[in-house]
This record gives sequence, C-alpha cells and structure tokens, in this order.
Amino acid sequence: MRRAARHRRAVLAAGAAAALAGWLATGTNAPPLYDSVGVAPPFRYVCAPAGINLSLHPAPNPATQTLPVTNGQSPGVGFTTDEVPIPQAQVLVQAGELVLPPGATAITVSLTPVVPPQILPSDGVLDGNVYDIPVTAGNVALPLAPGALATVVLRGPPTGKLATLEQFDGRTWTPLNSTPVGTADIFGANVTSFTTFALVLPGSPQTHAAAGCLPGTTLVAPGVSSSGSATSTASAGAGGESSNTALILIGVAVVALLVAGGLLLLLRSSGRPPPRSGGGRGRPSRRR
Amino acid sequence: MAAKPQLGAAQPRPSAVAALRAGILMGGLAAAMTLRLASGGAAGSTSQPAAVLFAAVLLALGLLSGWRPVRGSWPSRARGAGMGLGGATLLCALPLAHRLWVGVPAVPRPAWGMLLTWSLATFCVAVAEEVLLRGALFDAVRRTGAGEAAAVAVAAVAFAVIHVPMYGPGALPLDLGVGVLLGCLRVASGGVTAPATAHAGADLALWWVW
Repeated sequence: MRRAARHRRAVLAAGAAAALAGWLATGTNAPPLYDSVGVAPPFRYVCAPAGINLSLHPAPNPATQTLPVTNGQSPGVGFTTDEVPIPQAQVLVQAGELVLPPGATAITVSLTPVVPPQILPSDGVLDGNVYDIPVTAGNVALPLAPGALATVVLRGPPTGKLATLEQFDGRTWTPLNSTPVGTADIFGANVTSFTTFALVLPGSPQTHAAAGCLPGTTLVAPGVSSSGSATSTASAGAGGESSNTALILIGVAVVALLVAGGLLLLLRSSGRPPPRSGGGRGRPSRRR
Repeated sequence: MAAKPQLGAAQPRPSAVAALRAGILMGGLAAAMTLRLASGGAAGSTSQPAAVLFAAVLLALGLLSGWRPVRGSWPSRARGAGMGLGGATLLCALPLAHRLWVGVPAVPRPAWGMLLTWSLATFCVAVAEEVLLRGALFDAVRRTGAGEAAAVAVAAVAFAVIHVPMYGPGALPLDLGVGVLLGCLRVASGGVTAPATAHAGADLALWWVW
C-alpha cells in the first residue's frame, strides 16, 4: 500500500518535472498549454503602440514566394506570411489574372512588414503593421488584368473593433471595402493593384507614427509597386484554389476516418472470444 | 490456474492486435486533425464548430476501439478529479507567476459574449483528446506489452505532434512536457478523469488568467 503510494508520488513528480521542462524550453511567455480553442499567438509588431513592450513580442515575418509561369499565364497565388497558426498577411490572386511582360518565366510575390510612411491615414489610426505587397516579374511590377481582382488579408492586434483595410499609393491612403475574415481582428478586401496596405481603426488621425520600432526593420516610404488606382469592390475575390484544397482534404480525412472506424470495429470483433455453445453469457458451458 | 489454449481458428496475438489498434488510432487522430483544420476555414484552430466536430470524431474513434470509462467508485473518481485539479493548478501557476512578475504580450481572446460556447467547445475538445490519447491509445500501447512508460510517451508525442499544425513547432516542447504530465496523471490515478480534469482546467483557465 505504502509502496503504491510512493510509486504514485514518483510518477506525478516526474510528470510535473516534464511539464516544467517543456514550459522552460518553450519560453516563459508560453500559455499554460498550447491547446485551446481560440489560442492565438501575440500580434507581431513592427512599431509598438503605447503600452506594448516590443521585447516581449517576436518580430513579424516578411515572406517572398517565386512561382513559375506556365503556358504563358500567371500562376494562381495563395500566399501568406508564416506566423502560425494565424498568418498576419495574405495575398490571393487567381491564375491568369496578372499581365505578364513578354518572356516572363516566373513571378515573385512579397509580403513585407515595414515602418509606416511619413504620410499617415487621415481618417483614423493604423491598426497593426503596414505591409508592402509587390508582385513582380524580374524587376517589373505586374498589374492586374482589366477587371481582375486580387484579395489582401491582414491581421490586426486584438482590439475587437472593426478595422478597415486601406491602400497607400505613395501619396494618399484609400479605404477599401473591407470585411472580417473568419475570426476577430482579421480583415480582407479586394484590390486592383499591389502597393502598400494597412488596417486602420476609426478615430482621430495620427500625427506621427509610433516612436518605438524594431531595429533593423526596413525603413521605407512605401511607394507604388504597380500601376492602377486603389478602388474597392464588394465582389468575391480569389481563393478558389484554397477552398478546393480544403474540400479535397475534408474528403480524404472523412474517407480515412471511415476506414479507421471500420478497422477498429473489425479488430474489436476479431478480439472477442469465440461464441460458446448455448449462447450463455458469463457462465462457461458444460461439456457434453 | 492457467487457461487452456482454445482450439479452432487461429487467433491473432493480442499484442499484435493492440499494436494494430494503436496504429489505426494514430492514423485516425491525424485524419481528425486534418478534418478540423480543413473545415475550420480561415478561422483555422479558432473555429468552434470545427473544434466540436473534432471532439466528436475523437470520441467516436475511442468508443469504436472498445474504450470504456473505468467503473470506479465515487471516492476513486473524486481522487482522480482532485489529482486533475492539482495538475491544472500546476500548469497555470508558472505562467501566471511569470505574468505577474514580468508581464506578457497581449494574447487575443474570444469576445466575452462567446464565453459559454467557447467554454463548451474547449471542454469537449479537452475531454475527447484525453479519451482518445490517455484512454484508447494509452490502453492499446500498454496492451502491446510495451508498458506504461511507453504508453505515456506515445500518447505525449501524439499529443504534441497534432498541435504543431495549429500552434507551430514552437509549441512542441510545452505540449510534449504537458503530455507527459497528463500521461503520468493517467498512470497515477488509473483512469482518464485526472488527465481530462487537468487538461480541461488548463485550457479553460486561459480565458481567465491569460
């Protein structure tokens, strides 16, 4: 009895030590357990607003993707920064909707968090980071085909307020027709050109950008990366490929689960003892 | 008295059946995780309907594998729940102390109006994961003859790996360590009540202490 209790205490102590080691190895800013509906990592700032200590926040990740041109058509783009589980920036373009220069063999898409430009939105305050999103072939900025739309999605800090995606063309900020995407603090809008984007919260305009910015962040005054005006639209955007992929994954997962369930049932039946004569349950049958 | 081997059709070795069952459960776990992420859409891991679907699939897999809760007495269940509460307290104590002393970045939390549905979804997922990992999978690995330590390890690794797509590789050490703690609670208490209580408690505490 006493031995069993001692064993139990030793097992629990070992478990506690493992949890402590895991917490220390993960970093002491970790939540109690990375396993809860709605656990999202902290927002990654380029420039910290008042009350935010940048040293407690990891830096946002820039991302670049190069995609090959096939059959003379621009490829579909479904590209995000690599913050997990919630990327902070995403751009979606359907295949064939970029105007390619002659001889283009690949396109390059970048999502770069940058220090805000000198010119700030006149209708509110920046909510999170400013992202420069150029789409190029070689060094040539690619415009969208006439009538084509791309979609830009940005995540903001956890304010719980409705933000608007705005586009900066090097001179002015233009609000886009924005909609919440999936979960709180993420907003998307359709765009007709690739320049610089940010979320903006309604309020008194900022007079200057936040003072504290990450050292080493690219200091740019974002300019126009491709021609075209920033007009907003409410129609559906790109992203058909990603939804198709999701449907395929769901189908594969359902089939795999049905197979797994069937196999588990088979194993259960094969693991049962053979039926006894007389069908008695729990009482051994007598030999005759 | 040793049982006589039964004559008739050849039966598969129990350890082989258990190993096969463990493999199927792990495959089913991966499929369930894929289903959760794919059906969550843009919300991903924050989608409550996808989380509830995930919990239902895990419970179904556990029950199909033949797992049933141990029919213990009320005192033993209460002891398991007590151990689980202790585990949840331990999991929350260090991050909470760190937060009080050093401060932590603001972590997005669901809106207050979602407290009830969030709590239910979180509770369902935590309990379902324990039923599958520390219940069905733990029993299957143990029945292979590998022992309880191996069962704790396999369940902890599975627990950590299924969360990588949602929280990134950075969460791996923490989920691995917590997985070992939950497995140890399973060993010490003899049932799933203790790890399920600790798991659900730590998850639900996120709303209040984080």
